[in-house]
Amino acid sequence: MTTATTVLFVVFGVLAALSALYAVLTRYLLRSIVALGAFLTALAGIFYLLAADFVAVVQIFVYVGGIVVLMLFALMLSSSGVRHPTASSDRRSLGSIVAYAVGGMLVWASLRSTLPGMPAALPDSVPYLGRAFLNEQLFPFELIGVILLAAVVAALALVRKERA
Amino acid sequence: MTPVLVLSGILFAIGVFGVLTRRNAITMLVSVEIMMNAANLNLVAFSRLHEPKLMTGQTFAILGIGIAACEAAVGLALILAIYRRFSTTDVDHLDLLKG
Repeated sequence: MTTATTVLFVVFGVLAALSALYAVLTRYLLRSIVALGAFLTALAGIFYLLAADFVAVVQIFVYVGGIVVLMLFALMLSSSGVRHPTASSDRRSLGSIVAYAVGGMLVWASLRSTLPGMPAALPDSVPYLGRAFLNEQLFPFELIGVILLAAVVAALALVRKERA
Repeated sequence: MTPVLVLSGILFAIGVFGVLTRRNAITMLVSVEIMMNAANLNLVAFSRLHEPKLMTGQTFAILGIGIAACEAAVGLALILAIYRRFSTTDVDHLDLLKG
């Protein structure tokens, strides 16, 4: 990694971690969803730094443009942006114990592993991605269309007004 | 490589904390999305390490984003249906099956 990449990685990483923490901790639902949007955008930047440009673009389109907006609509239809009670203190301590255990284990394992450094990136990754989707990954690629259709039909069936 | 894995582990732990402590269904969905993105970060990082020309990790990440879109659509539809019936999205109040 070059110096600029390292600096940008640290900036995006801190931004992602802070906004994720805010999304989880804030008592306001609207702020939580907006912080999720910031987290997803910062993560798209990290994807770009890892030479996955197409994944970064898909992340912005689908997550920030789709899922966050969908969540905002669900918030508007279900409740006003007033504060929502957080968990009681006993559940909070239990949650932090489990989260510290999981996070500590993951960080410890990745610090202990002897992985090679980042290899040089492909100069242009999108043609390889297209080839992979139309050759080795063709079946899952087609399958996800069916799953998306099923999800749309299921969502419509769930929110449809029942005729009395 | 290691910094990416460490960041991904921290983000996953934040997601776990959110799912366990928050009681609002939409916030729990937000936390699940954070966890899914931490997993996607690992997939993209390892895609560059192993067989970068096959793009297996990146294709997995894109398919995972698609699955997450399905999950969010169905999950939010469920939350709306629940809100219509019970006038709440707090999962602690949904105890209809409790004896």
